[in-house]
Amino acid sequence: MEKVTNSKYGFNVWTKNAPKSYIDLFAKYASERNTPIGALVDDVLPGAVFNRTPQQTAEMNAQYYDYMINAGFNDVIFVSELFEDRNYDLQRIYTASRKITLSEFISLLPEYKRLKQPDTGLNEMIDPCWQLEVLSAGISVRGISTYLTGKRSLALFRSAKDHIANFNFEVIDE
Amino acid sequence: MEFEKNYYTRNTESLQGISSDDLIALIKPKTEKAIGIDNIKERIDNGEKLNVKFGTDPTGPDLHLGHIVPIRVLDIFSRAGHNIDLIFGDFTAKVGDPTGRGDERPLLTDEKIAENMSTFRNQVDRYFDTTRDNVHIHQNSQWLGKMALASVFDYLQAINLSQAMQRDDFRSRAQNGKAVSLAEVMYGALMGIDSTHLMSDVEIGGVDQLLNFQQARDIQRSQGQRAEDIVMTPIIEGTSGDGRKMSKSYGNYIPVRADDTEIFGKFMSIPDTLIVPYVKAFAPVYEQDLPRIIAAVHESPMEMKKQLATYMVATASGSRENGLAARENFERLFSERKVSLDDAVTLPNIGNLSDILLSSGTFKSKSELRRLAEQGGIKVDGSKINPEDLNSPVTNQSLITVGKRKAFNVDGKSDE
Repeated sequence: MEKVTNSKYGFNVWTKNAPKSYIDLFAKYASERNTPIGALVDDVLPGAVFNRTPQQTAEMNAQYYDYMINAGFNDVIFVSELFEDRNYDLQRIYTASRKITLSEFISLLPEYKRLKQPDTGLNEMIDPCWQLEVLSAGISVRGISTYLTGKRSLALFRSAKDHIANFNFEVIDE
Repeated sequence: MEFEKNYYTRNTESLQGISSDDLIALIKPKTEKAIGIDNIKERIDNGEKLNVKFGTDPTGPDLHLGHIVPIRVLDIFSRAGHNIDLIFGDFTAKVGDPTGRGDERPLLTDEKIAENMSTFRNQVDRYFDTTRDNVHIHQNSQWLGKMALASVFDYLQAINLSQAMQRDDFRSRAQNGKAVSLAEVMYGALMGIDSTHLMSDVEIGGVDQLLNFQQARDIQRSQGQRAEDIVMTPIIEGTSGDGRKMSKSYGNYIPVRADDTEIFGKFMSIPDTLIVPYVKAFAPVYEQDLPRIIAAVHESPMEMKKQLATYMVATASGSRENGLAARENFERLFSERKVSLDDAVTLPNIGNLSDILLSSGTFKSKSELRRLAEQGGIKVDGSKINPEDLNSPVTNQSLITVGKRKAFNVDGKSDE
C-alpha cells in the first residue's frame, strides 16, 4: 500500500558543474520512504558568478533536467523559473540580509575564505542570502516540507532553520 | 553687528558665478571633514557644473535642526547653480530598515513613503528650496528595485569585507554582544550604487557616514567612474550643551516645525559655548567672517545669542519681521516682568506640565495651577497655555513663567 502523506522532500543544488552521481542518493532516500522529492536547481547564481551566456545556462539546465528526472526526482524546477523577474534579485538578497548577522555569515564562510578575509569581497554575502530566499520559496511555492542535505551544507541549513518558518531538514550520508 | 540682518539677506542671494574660493569659504565653516575639496575647487575653476548628491531616509518625518546642517551645504551648491540630486532611500524603507536597532519596523507602503517625502520637503524648504529647476528628486527604489543578480555581484565585489567591518560602531556592538546584520554591512555599497547611477561628483552628509562614503567611492571607481568628493558636516551638539548630539531621545533638540516663540526660546537657552558652532552650522558665514563673529560673541554673548535666535526665526518663517517680533516678545517677557533667564529655577522634566510645576514646591495643588491657567497666568516659552495644557508633556529647555515673577527652566530627559 502506498504511504499517504503530504510530505515532500526537497533537494537544492546549484549548477556549478555538470550533475554528479551523488545526487542519486537523495532520490534513492526519498524513494525508500515512499515520499516524493522535488529538485530546486539554482541556475541563476552560477550564471552570475561564472558570467554564463543564456545559451550556456540553457545547456547546463538541460543536463540537470535529464539527469534528475532519470535519477527519480518527481519534479525539477529551476530558480530562474521560481524567480522569473530578475529585477527583484537585489530585493531578495536585501530581505535575507536583514536576517543574517555578520558573525553568522563569517561562520558560514569556508575556512580558507575566513582565513583570507582581506581578499574576501562583499559579494560573498550574496550566496547565503540568495540561498535562504531560494530555500524559503521552495517551501512556500513548491510545497517542500523537508529538505535533504549532505554534511557539507549543514551549517547553512542550521542557519536556514533559524530564519525560515516551517524549515525542516534531514542530513543523509553522501 | 547686524548679524541677523546681514545673514538673513544672504540666505536667498544667488550664488551664480561665485568663485571657487568663495564657495569653499562658504562651505568650510559647515565642514567637519572633507575628501577631495581641492578637486571641487579645481572643477569649479574649470567651469564644471557638479552633480551634488544628498541622501535621506523617508521613514521618519519629523526633523530637528541637526538634520538641517548638511541641507544648508546643499543649499549653497544649489544657489551656485550646480545640479542637486536629492535621494529618498525608499528601497530600504520598503524592504526594511537596515539598522533595525533590534526592532522590526513596519514596512512602509508607497503611500506612506510619498507622504513622508512630502513632509520632508515641506520641512527642509525653509532652509533649501527643493522646487528650484536644478533640484531633482529621486527614489532609489527606481534603480535598486530593478537590479539583477549579475549586477549585484559586480557591484559588491568592489568592497572588501574587512574594510566593511572596520566601522567602530560595528566593532563596539560586536564586543557588546549586539548583532550587526548583513543589511547594515551592505548599506554603504547601496549608497555607492546610488552614486554610480546618478554619476555623483560630490556627496554631502554627516561625518558619521564616513565609512559609507568611502565604500560609495570604491563602488564608483569599480564601475570606471571618478570617485565622488565628500563634504561631511558635523553632528551638531544639542541645546543642553552637555556634549551629547542633538536628538529627540535626549530632549535637547529644536524641531524644524517649532513655532517662532519656541525657536527663539530654545536658541536663547543654549550655553554661550554653542553660539559659534550654531552660527557656523546654520548661517551662511564665510570662513573669513569667523574671527569677527567670534570676537562679537566674546564681547557680548547675550546680544549675539539674540541675533542668532532672531536670524533663525526669520529663516524658519521666511520673514525678518517675524524674527524681530520674536526677539521683541522675548525681551518684553523678561524686561517688563523683571524675570531673568538666569533667575529661572531648573525643574526636572517629569510627567506633564502640572507635575513639573508641582515638583517646585511653589504651588499647593493642581486646582491652584488650573485657576492660574484659566487667568492666563501660566506661559510656556512666552505663550499662554490653556488649562488642558497642564496635562501635556513639556519639551526640554522650555521656559515656564507663572505670573510676573516666577520662572522655571525645564531640564532632564523628556518623556516624549
